[in-house]
Amino acid sequence: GGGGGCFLILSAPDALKDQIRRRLVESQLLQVHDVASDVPAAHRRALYSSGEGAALFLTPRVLAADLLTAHLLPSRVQALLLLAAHRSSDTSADAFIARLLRQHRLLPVYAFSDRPHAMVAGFAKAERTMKSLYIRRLHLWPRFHVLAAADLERSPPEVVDVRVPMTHPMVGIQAAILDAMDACLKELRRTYKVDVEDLTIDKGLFKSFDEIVRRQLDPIWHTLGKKTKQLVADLRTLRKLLDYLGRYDAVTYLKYLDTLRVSEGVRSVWMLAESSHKIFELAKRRVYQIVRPDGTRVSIAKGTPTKKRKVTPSSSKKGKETENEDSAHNKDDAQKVNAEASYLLVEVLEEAPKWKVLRELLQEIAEEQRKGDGVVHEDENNECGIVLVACKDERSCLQLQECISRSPQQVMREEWEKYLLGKAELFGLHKKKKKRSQQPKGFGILDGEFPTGSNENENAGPVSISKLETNALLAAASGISNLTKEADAKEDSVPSCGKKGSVKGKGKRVPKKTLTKRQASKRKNRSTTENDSCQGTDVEASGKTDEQSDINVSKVSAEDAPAPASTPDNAEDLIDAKMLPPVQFYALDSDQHVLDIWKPSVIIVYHPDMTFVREIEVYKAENPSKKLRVYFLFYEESSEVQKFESSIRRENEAFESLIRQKSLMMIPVDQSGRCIGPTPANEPEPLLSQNSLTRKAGGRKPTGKDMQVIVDMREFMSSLPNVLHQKGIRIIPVTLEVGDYVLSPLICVERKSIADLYQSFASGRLYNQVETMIRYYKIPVLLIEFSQDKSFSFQSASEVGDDVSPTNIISKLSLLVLHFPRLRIVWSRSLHATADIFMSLKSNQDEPDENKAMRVGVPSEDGVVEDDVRAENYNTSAIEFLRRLPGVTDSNYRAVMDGCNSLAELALLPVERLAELMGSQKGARTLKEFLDAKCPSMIS
Amino acid sequence: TWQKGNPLLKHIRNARWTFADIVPDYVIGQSSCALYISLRYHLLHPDYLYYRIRELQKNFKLRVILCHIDIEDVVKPLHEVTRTSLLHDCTLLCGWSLEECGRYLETIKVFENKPADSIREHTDNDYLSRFTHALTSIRRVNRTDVITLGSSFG
Repeated sequence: GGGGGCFLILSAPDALKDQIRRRLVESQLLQVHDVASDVPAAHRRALYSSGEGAALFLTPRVLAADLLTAHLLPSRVQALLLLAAHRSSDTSADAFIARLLRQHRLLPVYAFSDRPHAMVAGFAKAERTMKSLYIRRLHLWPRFHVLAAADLERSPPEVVDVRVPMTHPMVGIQAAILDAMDACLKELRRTYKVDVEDLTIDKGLFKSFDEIVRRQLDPIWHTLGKKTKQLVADLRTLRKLLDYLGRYDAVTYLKYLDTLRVSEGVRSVWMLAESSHKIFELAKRRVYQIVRPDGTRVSIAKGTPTKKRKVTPSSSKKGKETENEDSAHNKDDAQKVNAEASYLLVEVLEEAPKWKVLRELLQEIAEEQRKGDGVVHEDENNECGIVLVACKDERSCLQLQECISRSPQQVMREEWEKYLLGKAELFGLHKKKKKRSQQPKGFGILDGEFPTGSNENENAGPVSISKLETNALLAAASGISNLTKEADAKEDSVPSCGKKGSVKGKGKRVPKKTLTKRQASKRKNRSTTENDSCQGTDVEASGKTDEQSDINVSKVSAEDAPAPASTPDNAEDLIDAKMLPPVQFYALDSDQHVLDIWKPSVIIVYHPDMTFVREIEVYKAENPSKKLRVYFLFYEESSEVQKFESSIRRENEAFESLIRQKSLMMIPVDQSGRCIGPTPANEPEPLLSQNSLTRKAGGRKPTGKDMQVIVDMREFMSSLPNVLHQKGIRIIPVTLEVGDYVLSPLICVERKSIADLYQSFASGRLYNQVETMIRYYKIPVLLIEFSQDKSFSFQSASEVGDDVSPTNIISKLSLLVLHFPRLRIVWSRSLHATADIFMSLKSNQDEPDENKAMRVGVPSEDGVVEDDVRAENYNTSAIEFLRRLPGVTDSNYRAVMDGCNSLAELALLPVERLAELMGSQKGARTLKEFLDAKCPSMIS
Repeated sequence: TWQKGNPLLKHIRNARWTFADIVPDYVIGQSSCALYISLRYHLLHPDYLYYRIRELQKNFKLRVILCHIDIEDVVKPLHEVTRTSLLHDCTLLCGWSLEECGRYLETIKVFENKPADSIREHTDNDYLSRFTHALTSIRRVNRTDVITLGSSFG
């Protein structure tokens, strides 16, 4: 405190911001302001200079520009705090900011990281990061540190580890995925391009695996064949599949596989392997089976075309192997007969084994809470024993909620019906198309229309099976859509949800969507839930309503949650639900820290996650008097367990490595900011001054000249401004309409990284950019900048091919130079090489004029000179999205942006208004049609 | 005629070529020419490029310096070649193999009168590809996601 000036906090994620803000506000130490990038410059300036100390959350891009333009004076800053140290490097924006600040004043820099493994990625990463941020001391607080352990273990929570066996098909799928991964890894090893040691299944479970592989392969990426690249992509897909296996229900999983087959089918390697066949088959079997009429099941099935609920999911039979149990099992299976083709679709609808366990757990907890009622009352009001269920994502949360408030069977059935309807729609569309082109076919005859089935022969093994399957699915779907219509009709006439036709349909899918939204904006809006009782967000033990109402969390009592049911199944559920304790669901993905808010007394970790474990530990340590029990739900012998265990190992290893590194670290003791850094020549410049002042200062530098470069605001996302500054060049940030860098009155540079180059060639943007640059500058330059750690070339000699192919980068570049012979091209090996080239190109030239540069290309009808606020005020990714919509061009997108506040608003504008904004009827119509079009089916 | 014996010629197969007594290494069309330089050669004869460029008159609209990157440590020599080309009104193109260099010459010849359509903004009329194109501008959205989104929200 004291002293005045502000604390700058960089790159804080939203959740962390909230937490910091809360604590600061509570303690009343500092004012807190969130300076988003769309806060106008004038307003920002006011915040910077507002009297007493304040904590400001900033983005690096804005802060760097503000320091360079002297909107913020270093003397107004008390300290710099970086909250994602693992993302810093000597070329990153935060290092740039640290340097800009430290040049003037030896103000303290604090950097934090909670990703130990990210701090050991790459050679001496911790040390290099510290040097670039002017940090002298490294403090490590591993979990196994004596003090940390003592604090956290003083009153540890009670931990219950629940192992849930997976069903047979799940085990089968997992084995098959691991097989496929293994095969991919072996294949990858055979390329001799990667370090074998790093390539283990164990590592393959983590996202960081991709990084390991990419880091190894990037420098030689261009020499890799298509197959190797595909292998890398396949491994990523497989890892996802493995993850989703434990996360999503059987139907959703199958749906995902279906879409995967459509989007990846042709290219991927693993799809063709045997194990992938197994994955698809087993995934299907968890949902439904096709039985031939001559199979054993027919006799039973034919008599019962009505639908029934299946109850025994855990036994999860696989058709033929379990024929003896069939009679018992089959009765419960819902079955359908399709008279036309005479085969059967048997619904399996396997429930996730964890669902059942979760229910049982909740009941158990409820019972215990009832018994120990006295104990509960002794606690403070707020601690009325909320149960927190933590899942990976929002979707799982919603689904579990439904599972508990309604029944798992219902949830599965809903998913299944959605799946079938989706299928039906797909084929419906497809069929319509076909009908138009060919002669109309009879209803229900879909022969040959299954995407893979071209063979018309009914008896030809797999083909006919897939045909049968499709037909069966469609028959089932049409059954459901009829039901849905009925239900809709009924709902129209009787506006209550108490219909026997609670066989969903619209009525329930709609609330689901709204729920998602509400869930996201949670906390305070909760009370609204009370009204729509049909949606059952929270479940509550009926006896505790009074105590709970003073928390801001309102619930819906369980009785209202499911539609009053007519089946015995539902009746059972009701009883169950009544006995359940108050439950809150939390998505780990949302990255909010809810423990302090909800103060749960029981936490069920439905999807085990290391980070959350640490969070629980801290929560418990901070509330030592509070009783806390934690359940971990693991699938037995699953990759989930393996992943969890190796993530603990990884954390420890990372810390051990950091401790070793720390003992060997060479951080100059007198690191004072003035003498450190890549360019000792980099003396402080009077940032306050305008051109005139700095010009006079010429001669202080070894270069003998005070060079300056005008840089477009948007370029502060990249590291080049930082590196240029390191070389002692003065950076003038402005918003440029033409080009990215202006080196002199003659030289203007459009910079493209390799990815940018390909992308902007494809979008046609590069052509436009070059065109305008040529119009306004004598020496227009296209800078093609390669990345230091990637290969320096576009393609391997073998990839050049025998013929001139119009899509090849060579062809595109050739075409570009043919059309713009005045365009100069600079090829740069790296950022640093670029900076050197810039300096050498500038050496015989006059310094650029920022005011002139700013006006270049700005439409004169605007009249006003552009304020630098403008570029910052827009959401750049939304602009990119907008630019890609048909009909929107470089010349009209600005007008469109001015005409509406958001993309959502854009979609609602009438054609006439669009035409007005875009200045073209045709363009407006194209855009409108695109926005309103229905998405075609996946088959097309 | 400097180019006699240049193995690069082996790789020009998609365009006809012939030897002639000309100032540049290659005359590609009415108004375009090219000089070939390998970085290895440039290291041995740092002034060569400058003198060759000086010989070229202003007869050509497009003057390409075709630079063959045939060494590992490129930064310094490439910097020099870049600077020389830029300050003397030449367009620098880099190839990493003789195949690639040859392909540039071929392509510039073949595309001599080709309109720029393939590098301009194109309006692809297929809905799905436009839809994908737009959605993938958002980070973290890939093709599979596009299909999932499309089929869920219609």
